[in-house]
Amino acid sequence: MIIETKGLTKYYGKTRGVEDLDLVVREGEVFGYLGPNGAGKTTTIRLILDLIRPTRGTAMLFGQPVRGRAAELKTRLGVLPGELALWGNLTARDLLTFLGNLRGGLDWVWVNELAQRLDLDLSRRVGTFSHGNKQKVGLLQAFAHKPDLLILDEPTTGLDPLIQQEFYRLIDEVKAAGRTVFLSSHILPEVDRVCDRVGIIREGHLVAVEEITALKHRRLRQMELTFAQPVPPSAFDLPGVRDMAQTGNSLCFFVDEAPGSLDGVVKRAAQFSIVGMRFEQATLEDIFLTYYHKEGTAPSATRETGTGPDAEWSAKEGKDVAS
Amino acid sequence: MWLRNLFAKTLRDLRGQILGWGIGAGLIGVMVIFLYPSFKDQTAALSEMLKSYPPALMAFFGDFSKMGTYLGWLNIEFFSYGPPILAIFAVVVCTGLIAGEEEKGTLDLLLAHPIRRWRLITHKFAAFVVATVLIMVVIAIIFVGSSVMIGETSQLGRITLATMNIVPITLAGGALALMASVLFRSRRLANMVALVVIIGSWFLESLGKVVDVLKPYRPIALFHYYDSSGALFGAINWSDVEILLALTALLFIISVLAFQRRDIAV
Repeated sequence: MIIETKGLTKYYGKTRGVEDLDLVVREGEVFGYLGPNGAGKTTTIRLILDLIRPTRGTAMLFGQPVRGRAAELKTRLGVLPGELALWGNLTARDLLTFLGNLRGGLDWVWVNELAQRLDLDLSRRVGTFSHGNKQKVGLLQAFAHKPDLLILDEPTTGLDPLIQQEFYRLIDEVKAAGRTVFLSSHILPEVDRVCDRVGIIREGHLVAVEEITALKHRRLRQMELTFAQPVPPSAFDLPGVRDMAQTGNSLCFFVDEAPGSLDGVVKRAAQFSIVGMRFEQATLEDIFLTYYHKEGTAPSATRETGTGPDAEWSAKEGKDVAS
Repeated sequence: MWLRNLFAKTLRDLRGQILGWGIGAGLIGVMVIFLYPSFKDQTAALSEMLKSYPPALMAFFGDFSKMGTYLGWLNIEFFSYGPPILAIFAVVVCTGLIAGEEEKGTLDLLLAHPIRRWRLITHKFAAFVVATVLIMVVIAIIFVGSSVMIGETSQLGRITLATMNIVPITLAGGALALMASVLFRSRRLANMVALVVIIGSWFLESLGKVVDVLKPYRPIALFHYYDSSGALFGAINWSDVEILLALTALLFIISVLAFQRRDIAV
């Protein structure tokens, strides 16, 4: 295992950071660590990097506990810290030189290629950079030595869409080379695009770990149908429809993207007289609220999509949203 | 070469401080030195005047016994007051070494690299030590140059020695500030605590010379172990220097141990 945590728990005084995290990242995979802001993503990463010490539990990198051995293990690591801070008085090139020297030198051919691909001018002082350009410097220093494991905390923050696409291509290349990526994000399409597996963290707890293909089944659309006259919500008591709400002549609900779900809704809606329709991708927040409800349970309807032993669900009692 | 390692980079980041404090303190010295020729002629009259002041007051303001001499003049006008001022440099720099990077957020980036925490803090403190020595070198050069300009060339070695004698007390102040910054995590709080302790110890030592109640407490004052008169007139009291350097080492080791154990703040 490249990353493994066992019962990893961190309290800041009485404030919960993360609790009983059992996380496994396998060699060669791109693992997305997904969760809303404040869920504990950065805390997990800082624990894995030995920047903060666990209240209990252990974190291991490359099969070794990080406590006491963090410096050696970090030779194989490329890290983009969350809320990246840089020394503004250095040029990007000097900054990369300095950080590279902490690792014993840099492959400048590769670094220059990276800079070109991310469209970054290395001769400028970092202090004059926009947020997005600073983020590029952060990515460059993480990728520069072709590490065995990349740990990236919200890597695409501030990047414009074209650069984001280039970043995704870089991740693809890292994966193709058999190296491992652990990236945190709160952006679902991003995780969709690059990850093999996803861990979902909510309020400090890992509520789900599953293959990205399984998560896709959980993707939701928000639909609002406005009819000529009131239609009973029970008319849309169909597979894949959830969180039904009625307001006057309108029905608002979520429909998942499992095969048949949307088709059923559209065919049922066609039986009524429709005056308005809104249909949009549900936000990650909606998905969290629907699938990973307050108590952190997974709905039984989608449980079967979890594949293999790694589709671990936190087995706590709570109401089953889908039923 | 300034980006070769953390020591070099820290020293590079301190170059403004080195020049600023070196030249700044040096210029105070230049003023004092250039005033000496006109003062020298008034020595007799001044000595008369000072005799009418209470001896206790004189003791507080320094060693006036050799005031008539060039070195005595420098002692009262610079070497007594210089170190508490240079302590501000030590405190501001040393609280910045760790807590400064921590508050900026760059410590997370540094520690994402294969560098052990004890090495990180050692590189940083070593840069402060070298910066301190360099500042004293700048001050000594300015003092020696100014002395030559006014024709006082017989005591250049003594002046250099007395300037270098400021190094140990400055290092001890810096180590104290470093420890405070590692323990308290807040740079502002560490600045305050360290400055209160250092300036307080200067007052304790100065007042302790004349106020009997304070006398027994003088040994706990940092400045009890800084003796400018010894460096200027007699011999350097090496046990004082050793005590200050040992204290520096002790405070630094406590800083390292505390830094090894604690969480890095976000």
